Amino acid sequence: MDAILKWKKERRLFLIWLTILSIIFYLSLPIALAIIPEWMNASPIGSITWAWIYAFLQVIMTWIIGWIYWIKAKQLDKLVAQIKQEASE
Amino acid sequence: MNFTYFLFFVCIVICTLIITYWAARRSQTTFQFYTAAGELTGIQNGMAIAGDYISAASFLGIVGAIALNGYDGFLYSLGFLVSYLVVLLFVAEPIHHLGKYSLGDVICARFPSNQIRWIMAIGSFIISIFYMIPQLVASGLLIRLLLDLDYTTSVLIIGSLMTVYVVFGGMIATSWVQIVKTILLMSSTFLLSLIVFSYYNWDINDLLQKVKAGTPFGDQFFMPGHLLSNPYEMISLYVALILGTAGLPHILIRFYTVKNAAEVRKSVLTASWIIGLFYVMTLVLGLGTAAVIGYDELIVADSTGNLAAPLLAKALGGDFLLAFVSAIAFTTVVAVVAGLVISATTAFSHDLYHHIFKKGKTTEKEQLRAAQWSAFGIGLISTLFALGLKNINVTFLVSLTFIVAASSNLPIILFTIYWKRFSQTGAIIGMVSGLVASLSLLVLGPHIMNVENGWILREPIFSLYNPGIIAIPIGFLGAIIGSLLFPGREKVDFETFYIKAQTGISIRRGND
Repeated sequence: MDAILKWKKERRLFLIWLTILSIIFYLSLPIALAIIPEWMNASPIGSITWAWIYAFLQVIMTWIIGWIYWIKAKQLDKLVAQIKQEASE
Repeated sequence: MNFTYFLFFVCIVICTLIITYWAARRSQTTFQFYTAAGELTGIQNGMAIAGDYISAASFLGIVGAIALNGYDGFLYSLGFLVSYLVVLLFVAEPIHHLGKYSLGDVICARFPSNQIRWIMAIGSFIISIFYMIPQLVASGLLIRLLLDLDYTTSVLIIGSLMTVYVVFGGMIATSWVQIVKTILLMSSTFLLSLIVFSYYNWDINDLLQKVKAGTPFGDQFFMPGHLLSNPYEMISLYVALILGTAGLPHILIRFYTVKNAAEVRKSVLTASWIIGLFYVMTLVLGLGTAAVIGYDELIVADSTGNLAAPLLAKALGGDFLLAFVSAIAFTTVVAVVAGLVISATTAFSHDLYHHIFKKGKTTEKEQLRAAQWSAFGIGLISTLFALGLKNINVTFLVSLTFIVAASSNLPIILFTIYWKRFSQTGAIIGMVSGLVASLSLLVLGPHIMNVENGWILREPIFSLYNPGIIAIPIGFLGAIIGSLLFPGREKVDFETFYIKAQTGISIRRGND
């Protein structure tokens, strides 16, 4: 039962943090567009505004978060294998 | 219709029918028919998911939306892409571990009952049909424009093809048609993007300048707000898109086609990479259209902007490239509707017929026949529906499906997998409240109640085009309140269930 508790705790912690950070990151885009449009429409590089930079960041972050999940899931898989072993004993 | 078009068109039809023939010989059992015997690899499944997901509405509609409205069009793409994280983190693996063929299996793994099966089957069925009908209608119009066939012929051709793929080839044919479509779509979009860049001699600044010149918005083109007029619309749309995919049955059942959790993750990651790249390329195409074709000419050709990609193809590569893009659009349509047919078929034939009507007592052969006949019936009925809806604006059905999926399916799926105090009655109440909220807010909204061209010619009572931000919380609340007010007797131990959902391991408890 030890492995199960450990796995549950690790997974839960990981997911909760990842979810909270993701929600903040993703929802900030439409909220920022609503609350601070002047800032979002300022262009730091040539004619590319913060709004567009943020939009592209969302694409890249999606891939990064997916990749983080993949790596963590592989780690957790080892714990799962342990659980499987204990379950069949 | 000129010969080039005809040639491409026939090529695609023949290739897909060959795939179906090959698949038919390997679809002799229900395991093969419904889930391709779990034999797809993660990457293949990822490509099929991308093929299932990217509809002609995305390809043509988003290029058009970006060409006309700039930033807001791209927001659609973002919502579609980010939704895959919700799928990856929360629902993909549990669905794979808990169910066999359908979504009903997943919820019934915790609440085994006919009531739940009915409601999940009906939900999946409705979403699949509502998603399919605007696809068929739009494709009829599209094929008519591009290939010069009349609406009825176009719809009949697409309707028959999708039915043939599923009846004879099941999930195997559907998946491989989708994989082929993904390859074709990605390569043609990549090609077009390269042509756009080379047209402006790889000078991005020049491209951006020409974009501003080509649209009445001028400098303001790149600013948000041209399509989604107020922040509530923006947030509502974004949230509905992000949460919607995780409730779409035709995407979720694809997780049965691979053999373990690692392949499930690979599928979602592959799909998200493909979809992400695709939407970045459609951005290029949208901007290219604004620069090369210009706003005015685009509006004249089609006020919804859906002809942006074909017009761009014609301007950059003549008739040949236009024929190529049209053929891709055609393949895109059949791939998506085939996926929807098999999803509706699974709900009807596996959940309703096999489990409820026949109480799970049918032979393999009977189940297979039932599935094939259901697919035939569903294909036939949807085609007839689409034929009848020729002149009716059905685009609101597209937003409906995402909102219904996010407000009725998703709460049930999430709470079943993660919430200990979720009850059967809560599930039913949640499902119904989400469905009722979405439908009524849409009927009372500007899609249907529109003084100019709505079904009801009055001022809308509810002002948002995208009622997601209200309907989705209602669905979740309905499920929560329902569970707290009507707690059920747990027939299934939650701890055991949770472990099975997350890892696939069935633990025998009682030895502690």
